[in-house]
Amino acid sequence: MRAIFTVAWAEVRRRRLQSVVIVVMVALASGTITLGLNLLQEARIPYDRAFEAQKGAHLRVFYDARRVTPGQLASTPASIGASSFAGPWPSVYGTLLHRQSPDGRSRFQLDLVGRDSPHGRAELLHLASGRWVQAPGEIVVTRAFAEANRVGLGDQLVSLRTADKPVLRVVGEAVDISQTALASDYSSIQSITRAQRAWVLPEQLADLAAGGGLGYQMVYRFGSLPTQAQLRDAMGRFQASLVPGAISGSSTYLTTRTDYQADNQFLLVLLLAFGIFALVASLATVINLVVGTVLAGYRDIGISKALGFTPLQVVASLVAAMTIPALAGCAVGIPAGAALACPWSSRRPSD
Amino acid sequence: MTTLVELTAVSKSYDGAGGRVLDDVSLDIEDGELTAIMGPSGSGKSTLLNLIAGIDRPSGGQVRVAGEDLARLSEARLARFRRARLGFVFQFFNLLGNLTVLENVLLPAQLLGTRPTPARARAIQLLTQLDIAELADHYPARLSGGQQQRVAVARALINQPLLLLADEPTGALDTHSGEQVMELIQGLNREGQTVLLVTHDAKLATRHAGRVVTLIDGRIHDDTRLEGASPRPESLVRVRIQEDQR
Repeated sequence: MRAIFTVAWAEVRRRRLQSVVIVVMVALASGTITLGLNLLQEARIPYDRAFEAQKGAHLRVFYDARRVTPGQLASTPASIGASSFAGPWPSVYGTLLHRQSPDGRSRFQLDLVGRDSPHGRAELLHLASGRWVQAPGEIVVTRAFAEANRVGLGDQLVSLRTADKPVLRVVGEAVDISQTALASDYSSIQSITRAQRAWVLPEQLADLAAGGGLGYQMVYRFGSLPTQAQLRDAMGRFQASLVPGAISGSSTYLTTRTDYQADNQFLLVLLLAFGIFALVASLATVINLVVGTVLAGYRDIGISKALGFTPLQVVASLVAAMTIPALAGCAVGIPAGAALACPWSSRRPSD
Repeated sequence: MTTLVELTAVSKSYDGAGGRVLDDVSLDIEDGELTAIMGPSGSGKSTLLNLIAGIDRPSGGQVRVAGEDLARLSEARLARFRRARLGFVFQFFNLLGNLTVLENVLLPAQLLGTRPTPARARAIQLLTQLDIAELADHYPARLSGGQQQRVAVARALINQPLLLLADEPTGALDTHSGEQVMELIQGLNREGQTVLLVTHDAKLATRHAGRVVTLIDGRIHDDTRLEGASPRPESLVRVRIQEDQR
């Protein structure tokens, strides 16, 4: 074994350039593939992890306030066997707001939700900056919305829904696990399931909803991750127990998760493809170098055999001479790939 | 004296080559002998050496070295046999260029599994004995031919082989260096080392060997024991070979 290592190490020393090429190629390949695999893994795991940490809603149901009362909604969690729930929160869907800013006027559409705290038994909101609303005239937006529309703390948004056009000052940015950045792309679409949410105090909702459109939102969580069929079954139960037209819409965690993964999929596939390509390229380089080494070292192989190396030991010494720089490449590449994956993996799904 | 090498009706032919390289060669080499295998180019000297070393296998006949029938050994066992029993000195030294002198000498000991400390001590002792201890950390490319051949001799002797095989050990050296190397080999033989020397140099063979076996066209033409390895007149040997070739 010592003899094999002696010969292999001497070979590495002698062929410094080839060894460096192997180190670099394998480092790049292993680094890229580690990054790709990490991201692929993280693309699935962190959403679920953050979803659990923030007690994300498995099912969100939008009710028409004209047809149901909060009292009636109180019994809905038990009817579907929900393990926890939050709401009902008064909501106004598709509220048009505009912002007066030095670089011009911008218009947005938001689903406004009346909520007096970011905490609760379900759908906890993580405040990324600022604070929660404490008085009428304040609003908390999602970080995704703020970034997409360049809205910052202290900015004033004017509601165009009512004639008095109340002004809402942005006091906080929240991370909502039930919404992805993708949703902000749909901010101009009138949709209760796709527009970004924003939060105000519940008592202000009635003023903002003057002229109609007031609804309630409730979120439900189940003991384990529900399937599409289970969620459909839950919705069926609601519809059976409430008056027709009481439910104006719903959304599930499955849609949000799919959106999040779709958001990252292209980059991940690209990285993985590049990683595999780099690995194949480095493998080809290594094979080329091995063949070159064998041909160039034909004389040395003969000497080794005459000295008493077995055929297996001759092969082992050649393989070891390639493996030493390859391992060095892996030792650099894998941690580097893992380190590069960190910024992505520490990113919150709704950031 | 015991017989160290026994060749019985050995023949060797290569695929595609016309005729036999060795034909019905029978030869015994006793323990402690310095035997020179002599003959012109293509006479089968190196083939004979390769068969005795187990590097090549005979087409017919039997090769026994130190009691082992080499035909019965697998490649791996042959390799282990070589590292334990044989030492090689080649015409072009065949040192591994990417190892230092000391590493080259230590390599067979490492293969044999000798502990590092005694192996190193033996290597240093050999290098000192061969007057090249100060070159231990040099690479072969920086040494003269004579120095490289001394390193090769040290490497061949590190495992205290039963048989030292020397294939044209002076072929790539100038006269002075060649003479030094041959005196070294002869000195080892005086200390009891069995040596099988292959050479086409009649003068060298007769001056240093105790026995000269002449091969021509794959057959033994002459097998002479020289009394006390005393030098024979070169002219006699030359005449003898010329007669044989006729």
